[in-house]
Amino acid sequence: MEKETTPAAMLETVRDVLNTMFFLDVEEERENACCAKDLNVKVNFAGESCGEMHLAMPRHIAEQLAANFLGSTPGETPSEKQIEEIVQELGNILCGAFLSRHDSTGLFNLSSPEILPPGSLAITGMKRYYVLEDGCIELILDWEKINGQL
Amino acid sequence: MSLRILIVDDSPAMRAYVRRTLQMAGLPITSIYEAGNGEEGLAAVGREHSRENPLDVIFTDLNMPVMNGEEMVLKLKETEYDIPILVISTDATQSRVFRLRELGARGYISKPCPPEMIRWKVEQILGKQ
Repeated sequence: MEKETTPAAMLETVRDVLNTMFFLDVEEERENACCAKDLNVKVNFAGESCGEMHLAMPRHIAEQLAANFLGSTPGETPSEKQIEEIVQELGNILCGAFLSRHDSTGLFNLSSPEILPPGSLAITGMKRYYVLEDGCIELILDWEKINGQL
Repeated sequence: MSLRILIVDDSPAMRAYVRRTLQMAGLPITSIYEAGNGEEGLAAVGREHSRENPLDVIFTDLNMPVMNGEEMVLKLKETEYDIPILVISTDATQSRVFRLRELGARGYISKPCPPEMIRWKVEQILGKQ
């Protein structure tokens, strides 16, 4: 994959994942936005490509993601533990789906997603903000392809 | 017909997603068992599966600690059990899918997967039995 096509490929993946399993639509993608980082998740990957992906989002977005994923009824609030588990699963699905679709030349291994403490140093890399109806999600992807184009 | 299902995934969130999908699918499910890795999955099969009272479907993730999904599928293949296995994974690379089918998995669902896909795959397997 060419570096310049990564943002479009990631947008396609984010849209598909959020729509399919979290029942949310991405209204737009931005390079800059104001986004609270109440929950931060990291996923490492290795194989033909290796790197890290970070997600950050405000608490109310994390709660919405969790409620939608679990099919919670109105008034039913996911627990803190469920919210963290589901945000981690979002990181897992996004990273795996992106690598499978856009870098299908080889096998890859994902680390178990990890919740990072608030204020953790951000990685550098492709950074995008995915705007939803009620807020946004920040995604940073830092990757390199072994024997490849990046 | 009553269905007994085992879900093997190290993500509690994903186990909940599959469980909820199955419960809302209108299928005649009597029991859903869960395991957090391949080793626990094999133990669950040993406990819950018998000729008189078989498990009908096993859902499994691939990337799990202790014992991954591929190892579990391989070990099940070595037994006399013939329980249909559906793999649910983010890894949809051709080589991985092909490998799992060779090991005997009946189906492969790549994430993200809508609830309808899980329901449809189970119905497909049941229809073939």
